[in-house]
Order: sequence, then C-alpha cells, then structure tokens
Amino acid sequence: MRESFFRSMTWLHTWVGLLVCWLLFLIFFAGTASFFRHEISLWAQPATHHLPHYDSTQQNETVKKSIERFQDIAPNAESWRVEMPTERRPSLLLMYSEKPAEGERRGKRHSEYLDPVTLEALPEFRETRGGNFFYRLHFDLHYMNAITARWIVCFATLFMLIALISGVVIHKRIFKDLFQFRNGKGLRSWLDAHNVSSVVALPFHIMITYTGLVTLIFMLLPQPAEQRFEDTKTLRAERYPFLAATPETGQPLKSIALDTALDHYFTNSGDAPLRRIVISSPGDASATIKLYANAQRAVQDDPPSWMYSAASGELLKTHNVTLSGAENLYGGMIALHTGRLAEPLLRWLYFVAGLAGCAMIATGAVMWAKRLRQKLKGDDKPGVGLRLVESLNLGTIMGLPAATAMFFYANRLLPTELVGRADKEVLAFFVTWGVFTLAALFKSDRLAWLLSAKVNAIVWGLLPVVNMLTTDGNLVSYLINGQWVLFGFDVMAIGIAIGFLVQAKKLGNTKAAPATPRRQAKREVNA
Amino acid sequence: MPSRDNTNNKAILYRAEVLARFFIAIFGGYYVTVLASSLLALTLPTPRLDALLYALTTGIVFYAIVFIWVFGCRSFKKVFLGMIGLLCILYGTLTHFGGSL
Amino acid sequence: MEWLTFLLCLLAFMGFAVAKPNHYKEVFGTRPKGNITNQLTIASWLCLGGSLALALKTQGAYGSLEFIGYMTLAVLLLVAIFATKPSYFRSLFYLVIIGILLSTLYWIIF
Repeated sequence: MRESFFRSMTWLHTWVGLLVCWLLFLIFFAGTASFFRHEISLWAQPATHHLPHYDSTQQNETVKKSIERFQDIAPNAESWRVEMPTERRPSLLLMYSEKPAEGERRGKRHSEYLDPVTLEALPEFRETRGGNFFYRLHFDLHYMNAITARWIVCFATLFMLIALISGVVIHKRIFKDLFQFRNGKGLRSWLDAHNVSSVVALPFHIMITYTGLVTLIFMLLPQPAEQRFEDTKTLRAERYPFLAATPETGQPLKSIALDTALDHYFTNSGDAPLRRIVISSPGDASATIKLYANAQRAVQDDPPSWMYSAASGELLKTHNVTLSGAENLYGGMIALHTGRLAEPLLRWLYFVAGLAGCAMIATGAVMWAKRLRQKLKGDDKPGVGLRLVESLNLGTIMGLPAATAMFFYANRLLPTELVGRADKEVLAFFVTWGVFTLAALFKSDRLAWLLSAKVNAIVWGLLPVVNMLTTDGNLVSYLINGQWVLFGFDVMAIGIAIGFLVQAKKLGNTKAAPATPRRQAKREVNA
Repeated sequence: MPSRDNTNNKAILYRAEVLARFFIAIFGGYYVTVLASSLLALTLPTPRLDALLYALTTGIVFYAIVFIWVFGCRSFKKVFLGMIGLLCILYGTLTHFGGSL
Repeated sequence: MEWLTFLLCLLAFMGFAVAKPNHYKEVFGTRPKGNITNQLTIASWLCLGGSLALALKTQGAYGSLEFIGYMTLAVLLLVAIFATKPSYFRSLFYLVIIGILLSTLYWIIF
C-alpha cells in the first residue's frame, strides 16, 4: 500500500498501537501489579500481618488439624478444600461447599482464613479484593461481562502482537543504538525512551503478549478442539481427569485414610510441599482425597497431583506427574505468563520488565500526540482527534497510578464493618480514574501533567503515613521485625512518589524557561 | 490534469483500502488461524489432546504472519485474492480430512 | 552464583556498548582503532554465552528466565549511565571485574 514494506510497517505500527494503547496500558499496568498479587493481598489484610513465616515441615500436622476441623463444622459437605500456606500467603484457607439444594447446580460455598498453627480464625478480617482485583482487572476488566471483556482483551493483545512485530521490523538498527538515550531533546528523547523500554525487555514483551493469548486460547479458538473432541465435556474430562465424579455408594465412610495417602504422597512427590488438598463427598464411602503439589520453580502451571480413595488410601489416579511434550509446551507458556514460579529475585525482574512494558506503551502514545502537535503550523487549532488522544494519554497514564493509590487508601480508611466494602474499594479506584480522565478532557497541557504528577507524588508519598496511622506497623517496625513484604510495599510507595516528584520537577523546569510554544517546538526540532 | 476532485477521490480510495485491509487482516487472519490450527489439531499424529495443545499454542503465529502480510503486500488485489485462495485451500484441506467448522 | 551470572551478562553488554564507535568515544575520548570493535564484540558474545550457560547449568529452565531478566537490568543500567555520566563507565568496569573475581572465588570455595 505504501511505497515499501518498511514504510507500510511504520504506518501499521503507529495505527495499530494507537488504537488500543490505553486499553493495553491498563492491561499491562494491572498485569504488572498482579505479579505482586499475593503481596498486595497481604498488605490489604492487616489481620495476616503478624502471621509468622510458615514452616513447611509442619504441613502434615496442619492438614490433619484442618480435616478434623472440617469434620466438626461440615461433616456432610459436598467437598472440603484446604489451601496450604505458602511463602507468599501466610494464612491457611479452608473452603467447603454444601451439597446443592434441589434444583441448584452448585451448593453454597464457605471459606475461612485461619492461623495455620492454632487454626483460630483471624481477628478483624476485612472484606477486600486485595491483589486479586488487579489480577482480574487485567483480563476481566470490570463492570462488564467477563467473557465480553476477555474478547476485548484478546483483540487488544492481538494488536499488541502486531505492533511488536512491526516495531521490530521498522527498528532496523535495533542493536546499533541500543544504549542511546538522549535526555532533554524533546521528541527525540521520547523516541529514545520508547525504543529503550521496548528493546530492553523485548523478549519479555513478546513472551508476555504471546503467552497472554495462550491463556485465553480455548476461548479465542474453540474450533480446533471441536475437530477430534465430541463436545467440551469430553475435552474437560480428558484435560482434567480428576473432575470425573465418582458415584456415591450411600455407605457412610468410617474413617479417612489420610495418613496412607500422605505417606504415599511424601514418598513420591520429591521434596514438593503440598499446595492444596481436596476431599470430595467426605461423608460417603466413595470419597476421594486429592493432593496437589506446589510445583515451585518448575516451568509448569498445573500442579502435579495425586488422587486416592479415602476409604482405603490406595492411589487411584495421577495427573500432571509426567507430562507429554505438548502439555509441557502449553503448561510452560501459561507458567511463563503467570510467573507463579518466580521467587523474589525473578519476581522483581518480571516486575521491572512489566514496568518497561508500561513505559513502552505510554511513551508510544505520548509520542504520537507530540509529533502531531509539532506539525501544527502557526495558529492552527489542534483537531478533535489530537485533543482526545492527549486527554486519554493524561487520564490513563497519570490516572491509573493515582487510582491504584486511592484503592489502597480505601482499603485502609473504610470502616471494616461496612457492607459491600470490597466493591467500595473498587469504586474508589474507578472514580479516581474517571475524575482524572474527565479533568484531562478539559485540560491536558503541560500544566495539567505537572499538576497530576504532583497529586500522584502526594498520594503515594502519604500512603505509608496513612498505613502507619491505621495499622500497628510502620516502615521502621517492618524493618526491625523483618516483615519484608510490607517493608517493600512502603518503600515502593515512597519510590513511586519520588519518581513522580522527579517528573514534576522536569515538567516545572521546562515551563520555567520562557518560551512560547512555537519557539519551544522549533527548539525541539533543531535539537 | 490533477484536479481537486481527483485528489479527493484518491484520498477516499486510500481510506477505503486501509479499512478493507484492516477488515481482511482482522477477520481473514482470524479464520486462517482457525482453519490452520484446526487442521493441525486434526492431523498431527499424536494423541488427540496433545495435537490440540500443539495446534493451539502455535496457532497465533499464523495470525501474526497473515496480518503482517496483508499490510506488507503492495498490491491490494493480490491481498484480496490471496486471502480468498488461502481460505479456500485451507477449508478444502480441512474438510478433506474430515474436519468441519 | 546469581551474582556471577548477572555480572557476566553486564560485562557482555558493556562490551557491546563500547564496540559501538559513538559510545567508545564517549568513554575513552578517541575513535576505536583497528579491529578492536570486532574483538570486543566477539568477547562480549563469549561473556553472554558464558552467562547463559551458567544460568542454565545452575538453575535449568528457571535460570534462562532469570538470564532474560538480567539482560534487561544490564541494558537499563548502561542506558542510565550513558544518558547521565558516561565517565562512570570505567569505574563500573573495574567494579564488575572485581565483582566477577570475588563471586568466582566464592563459588570455588563454597
């Protein structure tokens, strides 16, 4: 269409990128935050702050106590489920669902968070979505049907993939000026920042985009599955053999052969600690025990799992213990995307790469607007399109961090007994974002950017203070008690605040220099 | 003689072509992906679940290639006819092996 | 171990950086002479390969993920240096060499 392949790829890169950049920024932003999903959840739940680091040599004990508790409180449940404490989630989660009532597909579900050692309920447990909010936000969006949202996200991600590929094609000299960042040179600097943030984490960007599509692939491409599988039920049964229901016998179960099952598990699972225990129809002789291993650093998403008869303790089935090549490929891709395997060092690397992704999208969007503005001659009025892009840029790029901070404020400041508290936190997030975007529609010049940078710096900077006033911990006590996650959270907030301060200073400096917009633009061109 | 009308027409034609290319790339690309990965899922000589997983994990590559081709190819006629041809061939092969959409 | 992997990776990218005439001039003040550029590039690839091999040997597939992260970190660090004070490059070079020696010693001893 254009004169050359190179030119048409440049064109494609620009437009495909611009069309979905704000949605992509939201996805990348929320996705990057969800690398610290459990850490955010921990912060959001002060009741769990003082739980000691879980000692996994205690797990046998913990499982037994949990089962005893279930036998007390829900002997006739449909199923029991124990989520074991992990490095990242110190509390013990017990869940059970009741038998479905007449005409219902699913029974009522109950869940409780407990101290893993004493098995006492945690005091003052507040209703919050914590890190799960960001996790869900990055593929389910919010206030809309989840399936529609996922299709929208898939569409944006496909465009992202195209933008990445065309970006690589047009950046002929990818390694030539790899380390080039020319500071304070107007448009040139934005281009450099865009290139640097793309290139430094290029393997990550491509990986996360591609594997992101793979996580939703069964929805995106349902047809291949229909070729050799009769229906989705057969497919599910083959993918998750544990789901096949064992018919109930009607005979009561005398005792659960938990010890036999655990013994077998610990001799056969290597050193992997338990991650989850599920006991189905625990009152019936047909009951089964399913033990799921914590796959730890293995590049595998579905945990290796073992299923035993609860009556005899004999092994019935295993799943994901040995994987075929295809399962390795698929599971490996999902594992790479979710990063559940990552231990702190790698988690931070993931986070840095995610931030680079956010920066890549943000600088790309800003650059588009700057370039168009520079082309304006004399007293030309900027068109509606340019104005809209500028507003959305400001509203999204500066609004989302502020909205995130407000989400955290809501978590600390809303009364714990408030009804629908979790939704109100989410509301605080969206209201803040909405306010930023609306304000940006009126004004999106340098002054507005400066103001939003200052607002962001203030809200992030005050977050540790509010945390100190509303909980019994603070930066110093975290340091002394070695509560590194909470310490990291506060340091992070301060770091973000400093980042915005630096930005505000830069924006303020350029403004202080007496230059009319035109002269300034000219200077940028010359530079 | 390059009159104003002429350039206007050209601009409209250009926009129409861009829209058409987007349409072809998005939907054509999607159906090429669907057909190609269905074909893989159907014909790979592995157990059916493995074949499916291989097909799904590699499927998106087709989409990317087709999308880039639609915008990289200079002649619109080539893109249009090529896409129709590709879809026909893939659909024919799929039905030949007993698959369906 | 992680340190050695990262430092080797950083050293490799430092080599790539000064293999570019522009950056070479920023650091050393002169244009690169002869085929030093080629030699630097080859040495850097060797370092990078060593870093990847080390990551794979000690951590397997997980190590390759860390390795990718290290590349990101290394380039970010170098970009920051070239954007602010290219003269720090030399100091960084000595630090990296010392770091590599120390972490190798640590590796051999323990």
